[in-house]
Amino acid sequence: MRIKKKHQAGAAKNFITRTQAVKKLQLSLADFRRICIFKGIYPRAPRSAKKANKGSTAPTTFYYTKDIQYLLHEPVIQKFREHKIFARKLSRALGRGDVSDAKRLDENRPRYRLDKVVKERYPTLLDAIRDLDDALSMLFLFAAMPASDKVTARVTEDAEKLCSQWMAYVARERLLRKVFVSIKGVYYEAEIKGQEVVWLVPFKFPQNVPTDVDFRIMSTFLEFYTTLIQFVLYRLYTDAGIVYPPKIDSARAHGVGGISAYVIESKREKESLIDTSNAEKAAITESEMVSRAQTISTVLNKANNPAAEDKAEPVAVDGDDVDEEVTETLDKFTALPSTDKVISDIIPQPEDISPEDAIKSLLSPFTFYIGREVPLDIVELAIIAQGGAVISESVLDGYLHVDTDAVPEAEEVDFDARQREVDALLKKVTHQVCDRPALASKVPGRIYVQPQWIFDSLNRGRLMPVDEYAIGATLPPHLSPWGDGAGYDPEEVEKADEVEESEEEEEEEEEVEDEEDEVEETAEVEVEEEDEGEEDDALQHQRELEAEARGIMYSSTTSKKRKRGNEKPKKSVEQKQAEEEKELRKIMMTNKQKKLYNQMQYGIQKKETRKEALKTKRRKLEKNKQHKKRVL
Amino acid sequence: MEVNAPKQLSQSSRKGRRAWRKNVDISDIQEGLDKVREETIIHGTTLNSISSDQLFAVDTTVSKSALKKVGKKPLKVDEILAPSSAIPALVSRKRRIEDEAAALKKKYKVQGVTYKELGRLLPVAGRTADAKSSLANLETDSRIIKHMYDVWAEDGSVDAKTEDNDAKPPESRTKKNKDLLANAKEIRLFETTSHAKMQNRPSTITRPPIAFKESTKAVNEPIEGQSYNPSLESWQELLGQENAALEKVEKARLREEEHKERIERLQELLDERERLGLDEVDSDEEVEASPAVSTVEVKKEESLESATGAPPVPSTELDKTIIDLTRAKSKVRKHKLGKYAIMERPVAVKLSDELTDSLRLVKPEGNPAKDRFISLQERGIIESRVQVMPGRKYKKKVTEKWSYKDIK
Repeated sequence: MRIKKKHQAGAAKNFITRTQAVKKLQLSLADFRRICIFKGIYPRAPRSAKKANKGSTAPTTFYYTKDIQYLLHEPVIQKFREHKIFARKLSRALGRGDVSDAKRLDENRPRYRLDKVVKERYPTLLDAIRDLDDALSMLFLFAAMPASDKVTARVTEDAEKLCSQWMAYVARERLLRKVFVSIKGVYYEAEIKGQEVVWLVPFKFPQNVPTDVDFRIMSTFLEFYTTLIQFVLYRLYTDAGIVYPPKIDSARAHGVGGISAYVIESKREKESLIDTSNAEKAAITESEMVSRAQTISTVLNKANNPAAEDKAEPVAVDGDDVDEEVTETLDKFTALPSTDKVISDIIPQPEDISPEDAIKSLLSPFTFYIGREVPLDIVELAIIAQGGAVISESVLDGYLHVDTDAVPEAEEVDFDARQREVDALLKKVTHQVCDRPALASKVPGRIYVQPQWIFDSLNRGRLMPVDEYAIGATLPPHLSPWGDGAGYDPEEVEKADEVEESEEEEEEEEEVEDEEDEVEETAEVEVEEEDEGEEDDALQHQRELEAEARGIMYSSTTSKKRKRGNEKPKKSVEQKQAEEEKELRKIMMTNKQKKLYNQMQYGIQKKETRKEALKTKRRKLEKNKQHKKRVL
Repeated sequence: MEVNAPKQLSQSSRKGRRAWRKNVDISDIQEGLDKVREETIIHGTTLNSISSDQLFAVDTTVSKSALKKVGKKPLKVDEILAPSSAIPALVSRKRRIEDEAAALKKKYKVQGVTYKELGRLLPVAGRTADAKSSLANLETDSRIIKHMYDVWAEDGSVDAKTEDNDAKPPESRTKKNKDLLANAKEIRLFETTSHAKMQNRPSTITRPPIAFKESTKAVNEPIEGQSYNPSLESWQELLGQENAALEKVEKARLREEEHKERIERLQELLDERERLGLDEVDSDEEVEASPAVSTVEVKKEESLESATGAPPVPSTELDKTIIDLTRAKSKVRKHKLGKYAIMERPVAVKLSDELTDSLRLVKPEGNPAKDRFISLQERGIIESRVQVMPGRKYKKKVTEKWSYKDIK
């Protein structure tokens, strides 16, 4: 028999230390880290570090040998090596003072693309969307960063651009499902192609750049995610029939920026724009002037362009169609007007809109005027994703009070015309979003709300009562839509309650009959269990026969039987047994397992109590409601 | 501000030489000088030196913007910031020279390359003090793709639906490259490297990273108590949690401190006894420190425990769930991946006086960049590292200058 050598098989072969990997790939450590991030290769933990590291117990990072082997032929790595050579040549040229040579070298510098890496890591679009959380959060983080020596201005600009494109898409397609404003930033959840995408947007405050964060690593992630998100956006835009990349309204981008600066046009529009005659073009530019004053809703939909209108508002139109169809299929029973003799019942009708559609067009009839003190980026996205229109005070100010020095002489600004436009726009306003303790003057006909009203309405899927969110009112707490309900679904409970109530009624009816039986049965159960089953079966058979004779359906009897209360004592015996068994097992458990088990039980208990508390709260509320009704 | 000469005393007499010289009325001269000063502040020079056609112009046109401008009240900020004098501010000599040099740099080129371009090349080559070539590259090679196409198109070509002329396929799909690829297969046959190219992705690459936390989501579900306007219960719960965590840390610190103090005290006692010349054996008996439990021993005990407490054969569902749970638990890593432990999340909770119910008054907590970085570490995507500053290569040596020899 051959003697097996140590460290020749198993963990020693399967794992490779970082130093070994770097040597094998002939890269610098920085480049190795970058390629690992691009290709999605993570540090691993062997079960025994000692075995994996040939007997050494020094703290090291391990990787799978196969992963590293797979990297050997990566084209991006080849580019890294070429770049190293280029950097050496460039450095030499600059050191010698051959500046023109250096420039020539720089023009022909090796560049790499991450397209194939994206395709390889995410074989389908859905895979990419599933992993979008991280990408979006990273991009939004960099978009909010100040330009510094660690993050250049161009990087933040690019990130901001992509973020705005993303928000414009989510807003236009009305995909936003949840918003939560926390002290960390704003959490959003959108539903993209059936996938839930959650991302965190930091507040637009100047952040300080932390010193203990390695921004070389962060910017490498950003590099990869920038590529990824562009491909995703391209597909999403094309699937929605919109041109990618969207145009930017430069005038707006200069002022407020954000999603309001994006002019999204559908593909058909683009063609029609090319075909239109000069007169029509003039009309379009005029309409653009108008849209400049309004914010995204009109810009996105291009409502002023009649040729494109039918195409431009696909969501709204589709939604209406769906509603109509549903009303056709589902017959609605309307109550006849009740007379003195006949009192007609009003039957609650099924709601014909799914909750998601409800969110999509929750604010569709409204136009919001957003005060200058409200963070526009958060509110705007939430409103437009629910179908509302947005007019922002700060944008209007910029439109009306253009700095005449900045405008070239040739462009004479007609301020009176603008003022008239703005006045016409302001007439449409139904709601004003305001975040001040008090307002000096109110416009009659407008509803004044605080921004939280929009978020809570979106999260609940229905319009919240406005008076709770009025100016100066103490707001109700802003609850997380992800919540700590511990799996408590209020609607589900409602159904369960109904069932319980019906059960209770039945029980009450049958209790009188079965009382005697119960007493007997409970006595029997303890004495002889096995016989009891048989006896029960026989009894049931007898009952079934009787029922058949009377002409009652089999299913109804059995279901009743199951619900009947006389099974309760039997169950309790079983439970007792189970509990005893559990206790016994608990004794047998090791200390570690016992702790774990207790922990588990604690968690379950906590959830249950929370659920119970919510239930009782609900019952109380409902009772109060009923009581009130009766009083009235 | 107007500066007047000291007021003339009501001195009736100017008799005598001294009195004559002292009591001169110069107010008219003062006034004239003031006027000239004012003119120079407003116009740069005296009005006399400016020709009248420079001072006056006949406006024949009416511009609307000008009309509008007249009516517009300037902001207070602009008023404050506007220059109050037409005389240019004094510039230090050093600054003037620097500015001139900058202007020259803007104007001139080195071998046909502008200074700006040169400034961009230097960090790429790593020839600046804080050379970060990767960042410099990211700056120059923006990752914004100019010619977009669909990577996920099934036929591997440009999306047929788009039919955009500007959407070009990437390099590898051009015909020339396809030929090259075909040749590459032949070349591979005669390759001299010892290892063959891997054809398929290894299964190991798709395994999820080893996380330190149970939740491996990129964005964790938000904590209810961290709402900008939280409900009282959720906020109290969060506060309690954070408090408990902090208490634990504080207790550990106190324990350590106490331990240190005790050792110091004992050491002092020992020293004193030695000084007094007491018997060593006695001192040892009296100063009996509780036997320190070494980490090795603790580990031994733990390993023993684990050896005896091997998971039993699952007999019932309950046992199975427990064993499953232990297995699920073991997936979460407790120990560090490399040399260093992962960064700890800072406490993120508002105190009662910081709570607001207005979005306008909200102050964010924590640093988003740091949170993201910690999240990457927690999910096991990156290893934790500690920035190590390169130390001094050679030891500093102090010598005396030999300048005293120069006195000769």
